This record gives sequence, structure tokens and C-alpha cells, in this order.
Amino acid sequence: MKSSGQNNVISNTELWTLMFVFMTASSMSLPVGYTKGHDSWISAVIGTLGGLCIGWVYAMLCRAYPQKSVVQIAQTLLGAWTGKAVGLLYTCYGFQLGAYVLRNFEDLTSTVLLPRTPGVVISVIMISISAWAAYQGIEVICRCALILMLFVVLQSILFTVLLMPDMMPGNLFPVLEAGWRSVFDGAAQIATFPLGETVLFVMIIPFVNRAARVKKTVLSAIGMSGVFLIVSHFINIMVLGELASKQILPAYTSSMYISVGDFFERIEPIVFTVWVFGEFTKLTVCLFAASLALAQTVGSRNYRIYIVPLGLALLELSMFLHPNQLDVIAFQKHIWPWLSAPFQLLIPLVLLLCSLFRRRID
Amino acid sequence: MSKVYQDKAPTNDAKSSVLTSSLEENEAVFKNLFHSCSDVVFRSFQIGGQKNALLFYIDGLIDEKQLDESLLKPLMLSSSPEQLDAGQDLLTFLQNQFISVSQVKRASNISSIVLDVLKSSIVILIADQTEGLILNVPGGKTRSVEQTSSETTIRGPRDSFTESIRTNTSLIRRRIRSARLKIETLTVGELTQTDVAIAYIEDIANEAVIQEVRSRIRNIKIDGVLESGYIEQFIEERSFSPFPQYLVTERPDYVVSALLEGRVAILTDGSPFIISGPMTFWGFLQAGEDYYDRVLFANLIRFIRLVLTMVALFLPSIYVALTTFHQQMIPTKLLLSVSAAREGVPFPALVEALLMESTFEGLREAGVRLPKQVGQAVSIVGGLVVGQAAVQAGIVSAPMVIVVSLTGIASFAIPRYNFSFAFRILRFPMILLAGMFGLYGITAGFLCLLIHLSGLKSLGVPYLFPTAPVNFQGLKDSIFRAPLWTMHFRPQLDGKRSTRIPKGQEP
Repeated sequence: MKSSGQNNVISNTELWTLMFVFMTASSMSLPVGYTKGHDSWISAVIGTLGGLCIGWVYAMLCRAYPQKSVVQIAQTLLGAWTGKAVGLLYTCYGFQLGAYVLRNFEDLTSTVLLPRTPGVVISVIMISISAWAAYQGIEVICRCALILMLFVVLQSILFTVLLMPDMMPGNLFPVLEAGWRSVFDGAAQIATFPLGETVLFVMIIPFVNRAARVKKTVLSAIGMSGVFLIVSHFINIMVLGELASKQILPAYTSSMYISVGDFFERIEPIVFTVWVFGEFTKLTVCLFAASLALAQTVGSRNYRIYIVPLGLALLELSMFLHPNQLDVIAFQKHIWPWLSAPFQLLIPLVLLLCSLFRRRID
Repeated sequence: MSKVYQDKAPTNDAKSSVLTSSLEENEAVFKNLFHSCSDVVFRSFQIGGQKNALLFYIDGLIDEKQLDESLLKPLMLSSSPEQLDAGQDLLTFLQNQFISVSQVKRASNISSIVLDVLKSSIVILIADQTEGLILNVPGGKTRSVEQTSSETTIRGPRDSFTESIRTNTSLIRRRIRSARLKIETLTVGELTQTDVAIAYIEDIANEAVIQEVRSRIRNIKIDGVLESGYIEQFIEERSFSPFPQYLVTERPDYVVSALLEGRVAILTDGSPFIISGPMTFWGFLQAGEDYYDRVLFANLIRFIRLVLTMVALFLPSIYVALTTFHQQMIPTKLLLSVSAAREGVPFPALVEALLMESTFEGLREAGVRLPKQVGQAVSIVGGLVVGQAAVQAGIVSAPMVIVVSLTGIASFAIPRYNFSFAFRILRFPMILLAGMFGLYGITAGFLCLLIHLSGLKSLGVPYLFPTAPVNFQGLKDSIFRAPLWTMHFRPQLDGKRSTRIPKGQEP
């Protein structure tokens, strides 16, 4: 029987939640934007503004064409073949991003939690769960995100409160010790790594029931995640000082400082758990968006048949992308922002300009 | 396919046939139908000493006192022969003047007459008449309304449903004195011909849901229905989900509250358990007292219940994960005492946990169906031998016994019995996952559970409603409960909003 709501339609709240979990949960435990010195919070502020710009571009594009994904918009604007090329590009983007998410996940899990378990086992479990969620459809993904958001928010609040004794505001100084260059380096990472990646949601926004308010939803979700990021940068710098920029997992390290009455301590596995939730959401969205983009590119109605092949290929790719974790991190610091710029800014911007131009002609 | 369930010869032949005007022929037909049925009573008599008549019923299903007093006596002793000759109007005349029974109807179809006899009616056939009179005079022994044994309460009504569907509908009707409460009856079961009633409140329950329930029940093809569980298993959405999709209760106040919230109740004759849907995850964690008690306490017990539910699901697996993988999370002194206790134990924590949990489930299952006198023995064996002796013998560690007993207590705190099954089942895969992958395994298990619950629906309503999809009005009555006077709307299960408690009533 049909559900009480329409099938395959999500509300703006659900989109907001999904985007929020997508951005915050995973990025809070990775060394995002921690460049030299004590200034990564400035990077976070600038990066958030950059992320808002990226969000504004694709939200404008989606608002102009409600019920249409980026692939369909490109097909309408630039013709079938160019549209197919764009679709293929976004499939690759979602696919590659998913592979990186999975790779990060596997690396971190093997490092901190299960050093003796083969990495492939960890990845297989994760990708199977994500594939199952993606198979169930966008409604189920959003509902999972709604529940998971509770944990993300609770964990952030709990850790902020419990870390207060270890925070030293003096750690924030001196400001701009390493100069603006490293600050902008970090800002570019923050804008493109957790915030700009939401460009994948151009595949999901068409499911939203109130398309007119999408811009507000997208921007507020990015803004809110940006605030969370800024706060987490502040906390980590105040707790760890200059060490924060040298850690592979700053948030994880600073959570080790938590100690309440010699009883409640070493609770970093809780950070890890919440981080798994975030990675799960991110991986699921990547897989879902990639499958959907591929289905729309080849003109197939059922995206579900592409989930398993894409998921298997994604697993394979994640294993041979990089020889080790440091390589992954270096890649994400120096190359990933440039690699993702065309997807996050260039293509949406070109499409937006085309649509404006076309509207002018009409 | 339904042929398999049907009776052979006589009933089938009689299916379409009707009564003839010859009383002897009719009598032969029915006697042939009910041959070798020692509980069917045939009684020939004369109305007013003139007209031959035949009366038959099933012994024990009808009220014999009423039969004697209000049927046989007036009919046999009637002395108005001139009116008895009035031909076709005889039946009407008898109905109007002699038969002092409220539920009377006429029938000529033999199969429907047989059905009525089987459903506690008396049939009177009269010579030269092609119709028979069917009098509904139910009687016989049924259990009276008693205090519920499976769902006890401190504050709240004490009565519970019985096996008789009429008693049950009356218990509901007595609480909802409105013509908008509708009770539709269907018949299920080729042989048992069980009455199944669908109760709902018009304009509050979703019409599509009622329609769906109706058609699902109509589509059931089965020889017999012994309990409402039969119906539940035919109309639920996912048979292989560990989570139940219908409320099962024997308390009228629960059913009434479900009806008032726009749900549909399904009553089955012969079963004191009434099923009701659509249900949600949070609905299963609620008890009547949540609404009867004052709001602060109600919220406290609701919170405790949620915590205990999570304990019932995760505690053994977390213990296994912590002792096997993440010892750093255990405070040092506790870790020392735990490892000291585990020193002599030959098994890994995973095996220990599975062993103890299986024993506990075994004890519980053994105790359920035992006579009360033997039950004591099981608790002694369980408590002393399994707990104390197993620890002393060094087979399991004392912390494990504590964990298992805590889990057991926690699972008893889940208010709906059928809902606690889910956690009893899921505990085992969780322990396995924890033993293999530690906290990561538990997280993966939790995510699987979450995906399953997010996709699950009960009669079209998402199982995690109102938390996911989120409904801010509904959140007032989910994990926590707001004061009654702030819950202005009914749960918007179908997206419609209807006022329940008007605004502005703060005391």
C-alpha cells in the first residue's frame, strides 16, 4: 500500500538534515583545513563563506529547474550529448568521492580501532550497508539521517562541554603567524572538501517537495555545518594548540583529553561511532547520486540496478587509489581542491549562466 | 484452491437449494445434513395443536431457558386457530404476536439456515411454508470479563477482553458512546467461519487504511482461524521483520486509545487479543500509565523504558566489545576487577555471552508454559545453579552473569510483549558482531537496524514516525510526552490534522 506521504518525495527538513550529517559528521574527525600554526579557525570562517558561494550557485540552478537533476538540466540546456557528458562526469565525481570516503574510513578504522582486521573486511561491511540503504531509496536515507543527526548533535555538545577544562584560549595566539597563504590553503580545503561536496545533492534536490525554498535550505545547511566546523576548529586548537595541525585526526586526539572524575575517560570510541554514522551517510549519498546520475545518463528508469556494480567498483577503487594513508591525506590537501573545482563551481556556474542567457533570449 | 477446505457431499449439494413446502422433505434434508451430529436437537411440535412444525438447534450454543419460556410455551399453547389458517401471513403473524425474541429473521436458503444454526440460532420450520424462522438466542457458557493477566497495571481500568467477540465489542462501545464508532464484521475461515470485526471511528481513521485492511482480510483463504495471530500474519507488511507491525492487547483502554488516535482495531472471535494498526516504533514503547499518571513521572518512566530497551539490545554486545577490543574505555579499577573475575574462565567473552544468553532464553521459555507448582523449581535451578554454580565452577565470570541478568530485567521493561521479541532476537547477531568487530560491529549492526526500521511501514505509516519522517506535532508524544492539554492534534499518521484537545485549557 502506498505510504502516507508520497513515495520518493522528501521534505526540506529532511534534505537539510541529510546535508548537515553529510558535511559535519565525517569532516569533524579528519584533518580538514588544519594548515600551519594556530589559524585554522580563520580558514574555517573563510572556507564557510566559500562553501556558501558554491552552494548558492547550484541552489540557484536547481531552483530554476525544479524536479530536474543536474543531468536533466544539462540535457535541456545544452542538448542530449553534452548532457550525457555532464551526467558521466558527475557519475565519476560521486564515484570517486565515494571511493575516497571509503578509503578514509578504512584507514581510520584500521588505525584506531581494529589494527589486526584486514582493511578489506571493514570496507566490505561498510559498502554493503551503504548499498542496502541506497537501494532502499532516498526516503529511507533521509530518515536514517534524521535519527543519526541526533547522535551527531549530542556528541558535539557533550564533547564541547567535557573538553572545557582542557581548553586554553592562549593557544589561539599568535594570530597569522604563518601568513595568509596557509590560511587560504586551508580555506580552499574547507570550501571544497566537506562543504563544496554537497554539490552531489544536485541529484537529490529534485526529490524535495517544496522546490521554491531549496535555496534557503541548502544555504542554511551549509552555514550551520560551517558553524559546527568553526567551533570544532576552535576547540581543537584551544585543546591541542599547534599540535592540532600536525595530527591526522585532531578531533579524535583532543577527545582523548576528556576525563571526568577518573571514571569517564578514554571515550574516543564514541567519537569513532558517530564518525562511522557520518561516513555511512556520506558514502550512501555518493553511491546513490552516482547510480542515479548514471541511470539518468543512459536513460534508464531504475537506478537500483547500478548500485551493486558501482558499489563493487567503488570498493575496488578505494583499495588501489593510494599506497598509504599519508598519500591520501597529501592528495586531499593539495590536489583534491583543484580536482573538485570544476564539479563544484565550474559546471554549475556554466549551466546557471546558460539558463540565465536562455531566459534572456526567451 | 479453496475446494480443498470445503466439506464433501451434503453441504455442497444444499448450497444453492431452498426450502420446499413439505415439512417432511425439509426435515429429511436437515437430518441428512446433520447426520452423526449428536449435539443437534430436532424437536417436532404443533402450533396451537394444528400446524406441524419442526424446531432445531445446537445444544449448548443457545439459551434453553429462553427457548422454553418465550418460544415453545406460547407457540404450543396458542389458541387462535382461525388466524393460523391465514396462509402466507402466518409467519408474520407468529413473528408479531407469539415469538417474544428480539432478533428474528426469515430465510429459505438451506445453506444460510445451516450457517445460522451453527452460529447459535434456533430454526423453526412450519408445514406448508417455504420460509423458516431464524431466532437468535445465544447462550451457553463463555468466560466472563476478568482482570487482565498478561498486561497488569497499577492505575487504569482492570477489565480485559474475553473470547466472545460480542462481549469485546460491547467493552469498546461502552467506552466510545458515539455512532461514529463503526464495527464491520467479516467472516474468515472455510470451516471455522470465524467472525472478524474491523472497528474504527469514522472521519478519524484514514479511509484508505480501512479499505486496505478490509480487502486484506477478505483475501484470506484459510480453513480455520484460532487466534488473532492468524489474521495478523496474513495482513502484516513484512513477515520476516523482527518488529511487529500491529499492537496486540487484551486491554480495552488500549484499543480505545488506538481508535481515538485514528487507528483500526481488528477483533477476532475466540481470541481475547485484539490487534490494532498502524503502529509505530514509539507506540510500542508506550503504556497506558504514561497518560494516566502525571506528566513528570510519565516522562521519567518513558525515558527509563527507552534506556532499558537500548540496554536489552546492546548491553551484552557492548560488554563483549569492551572486554575484547576496547579495554581502554573501561576505568582502570573496574578493568582490574573484571579481568580478575575473567581470569579462570576458559572461554572468550563472545562464547561466554552467547552461552549465558542462550541459557537465559532457555530458562524463560521453559518457565512460560510450566504449571505454577513446577515454576518454582525452574527459578531455583535457574537462579542458583546457573548463576552461582556456574561462576564458582569457573565456566562463566561474575560480570557476565550481572550483564545477562540486567539484560533480562531490561527486556521485561518493554511494555509490549510482542515488541520485546524483536530485541530478544536481535541481541544475538549483535553479540556476534561485537565479538568479531568490536564497537565497529555494533555500529554496523545499529546502522542495519536503522535502515530496516526506516524502510519498515505499518499499514502505510513509516515505522519511525514521528521522528523520521519528522512531525513536530507528533514529537509531543513520542520519546517524551507533553502535558495532555498541549497535545492539540491527533497523530497525523496520514498527514491530515484533526483537533483533539482544543487550545487554551492550561489549568
